[in-house]
Amino acid sequence: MRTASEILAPAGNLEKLKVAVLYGADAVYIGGQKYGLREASENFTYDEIREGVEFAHQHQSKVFVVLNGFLHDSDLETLPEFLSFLENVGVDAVIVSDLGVIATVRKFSNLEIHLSTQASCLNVEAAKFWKDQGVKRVVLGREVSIPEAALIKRESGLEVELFIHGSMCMAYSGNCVISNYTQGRDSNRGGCAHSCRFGYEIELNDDQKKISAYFMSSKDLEGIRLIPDFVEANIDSLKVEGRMKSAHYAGTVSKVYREAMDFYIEHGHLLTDKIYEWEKELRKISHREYTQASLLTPAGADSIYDEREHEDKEYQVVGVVQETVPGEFCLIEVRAAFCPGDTLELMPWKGDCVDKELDFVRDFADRPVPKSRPGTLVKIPWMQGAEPYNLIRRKCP
Amino acid sequence: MKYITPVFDVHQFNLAYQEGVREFLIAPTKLSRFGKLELREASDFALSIKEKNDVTVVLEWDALYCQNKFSQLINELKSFNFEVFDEIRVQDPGVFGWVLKNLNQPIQLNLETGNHNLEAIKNWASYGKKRISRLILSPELPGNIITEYRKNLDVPFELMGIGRILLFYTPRELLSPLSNDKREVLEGSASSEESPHSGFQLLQNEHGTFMFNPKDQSLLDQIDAVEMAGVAHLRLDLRFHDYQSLFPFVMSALQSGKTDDLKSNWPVKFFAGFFRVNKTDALFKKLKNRKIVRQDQNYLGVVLDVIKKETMGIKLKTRELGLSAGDTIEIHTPEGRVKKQKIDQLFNSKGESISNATAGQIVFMKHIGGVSIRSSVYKSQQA
Ligand code: SF4
Repeated sequence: MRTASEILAPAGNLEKLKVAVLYGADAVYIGGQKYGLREASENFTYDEIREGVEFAHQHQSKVFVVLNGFLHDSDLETLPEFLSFLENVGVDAVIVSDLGVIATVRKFSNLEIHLSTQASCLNVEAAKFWKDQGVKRVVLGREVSIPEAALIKRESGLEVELFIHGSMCMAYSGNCVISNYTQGRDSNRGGCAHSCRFGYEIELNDDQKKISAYFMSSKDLEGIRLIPDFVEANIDSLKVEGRMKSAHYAGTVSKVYREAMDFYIEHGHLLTDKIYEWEKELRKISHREYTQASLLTPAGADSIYDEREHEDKEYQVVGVVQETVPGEFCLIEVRAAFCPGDTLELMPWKGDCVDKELDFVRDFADRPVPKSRPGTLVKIPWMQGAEPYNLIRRKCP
Repeated sequence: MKYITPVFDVHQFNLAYQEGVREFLIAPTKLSRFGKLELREASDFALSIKEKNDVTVVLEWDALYCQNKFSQLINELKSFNFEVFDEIRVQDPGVFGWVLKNLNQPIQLNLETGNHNLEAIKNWASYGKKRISRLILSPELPGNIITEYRKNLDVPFELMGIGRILLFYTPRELLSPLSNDKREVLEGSASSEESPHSGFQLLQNEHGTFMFNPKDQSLLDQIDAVEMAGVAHLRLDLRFHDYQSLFPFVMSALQSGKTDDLKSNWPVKFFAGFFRVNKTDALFKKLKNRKIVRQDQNYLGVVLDVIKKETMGIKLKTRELGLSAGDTIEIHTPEGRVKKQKIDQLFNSKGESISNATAGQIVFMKHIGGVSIRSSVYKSQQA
């Protein structure tokens, strides 16, 4: 009997956590205010972590907390207190890349430890080393293929996790310090300035000519068609990158990969027209061109994203449902402007989206709103099946 | 202070030996990120160097390998003469583990990537038990921290004294798509208008593509402080430069303490490294608006919408704390203002008056002057 691999989604804040869980993620990974790699993102306070864990557990999902910076001694001083908090609230695992942090976690808690991809674990021997350090799961480097991951799992006896979707660091993770030297920001403690996405003028020594190119930026990973390979290889967890990305992203990737995984487990194949629908959905969220990168064979020249950074997305979320009064209205928090008469799409937890033409848009004091403003609350006609945290979106103009 | 230098031919070796260096790094292409010697050449070269019996020959094995490549490599290494090397320098934990199990030489452990805390360094060292003969520390560690580490560890430390600073390492070939040149090794440089620096050196070889800092690291101006911090070995890494012409300047700077000639002859400028100070987390504070970072104590929720001088809507978020008519709340605006107000009346989204509300609900009340969207709401302890 086939066992589904875990779908592990990113959650940059509490709303995204709830969205990811409700749309089908088996687990989410989040960051506290310190110790992670996303200093610019919102991250979770103590109470938010507690609330997030309770919410996820109520919905049979797990919460992993990232502590994956290459921490300095001063960072470690306050870590034990945070660890005992995480243990008390029932966090399911911590994701760590630094051996000092691993040792601290083991000394001060019984938390399960997952090795972050930041440690670039690439082979069986390396996995055995980390196993000896008390790690239960390794998030393998993005350079590792599915067959290699299967072998690492078999030979090391560890759980393995591979990335299945999202932006990719071009460097071996943990092996890029461009920001440290050029921007004064430690990329291994959350300060990456994404210098690999810049346009460069390149002079090759023997070529005499200058070339302008985006030569060190990676396309985004998309592994949906490889779900059969992941499952048959017994890969324990499939991770989606993107704690900094939107609720639309967290919701869509959770929903799409959940549906595809469930389909494969039920039918033993992905030979269905739905695959086109799922791929279409993954084009509706912000993304660069997609690649399977190194999931089957080492990433080649076609994995380089040679364009200027720009948002490629077909759909935008215009609101998140906050409350519903059946038969009357949905109260939504507006994320992008829309007007009465527009047709919006409700993204339910499962299944196809539902279109609705708006007969009215009113503010919360019930006055008509000719054009909604982002960051405000409005009432729109009730939509069958709408629930708090459902996303409402429309095609980009 | 003892010196170690990578050498690739007998001329480089002779020069460094004459200048008093007694420890040499040998870098085969298959094993070292920047290696230039075939496996056989490397072991023959090591053997020839060892004719002088006061030298230590160290094999550099710092490339990273995914599983398939690693198993192929291990197969190829069956015929490699490891015995000619006195010590092995490793970086990837997989290689480290393999060397521990399969070879007997002392291990020099390269911890230059990350490892910015004592606990990490101690644990790496203790895994190698008595086999670890040296720890190569991150160039990002400041001197005062190294001094502290010295007191807690008895394994000798090494730092890069002079050489190119590696910024980026990927297994992907990034330069060949730009060129018709089919050679295995491609070199060049890159500059970007989006970066405050220009002239990043580039190298593509069988291990992938590397980018280097435009300025090289030199600790030669601070050599006394480096020694005082307890660093016993200094790496003089001239592998990307004209060894014959520059090595004498390096040694003369080390002997005289004067670096002017070295600086004027070195092809790029120097960066003094992070040895004096490392402030690469100083900018983090600016990366987010701390005023809207939620403080946990008494946190109630967030202002979702405001109709000025009329109404505002608050989403209640904390399970333990509800809100009732008559409560006093404190509101912290994104601009940093704090407003305190007793709440007389609460409404739900249908406009009906309610006496209290709990987490998950959105409540409406009279707008408090100056309060804007995204303000954080706290329950006040005193009225
Ligand atoms: S600059 Fe690019 S390659 Fe470097 S750490 Fe950031 S995302 Fe990764």
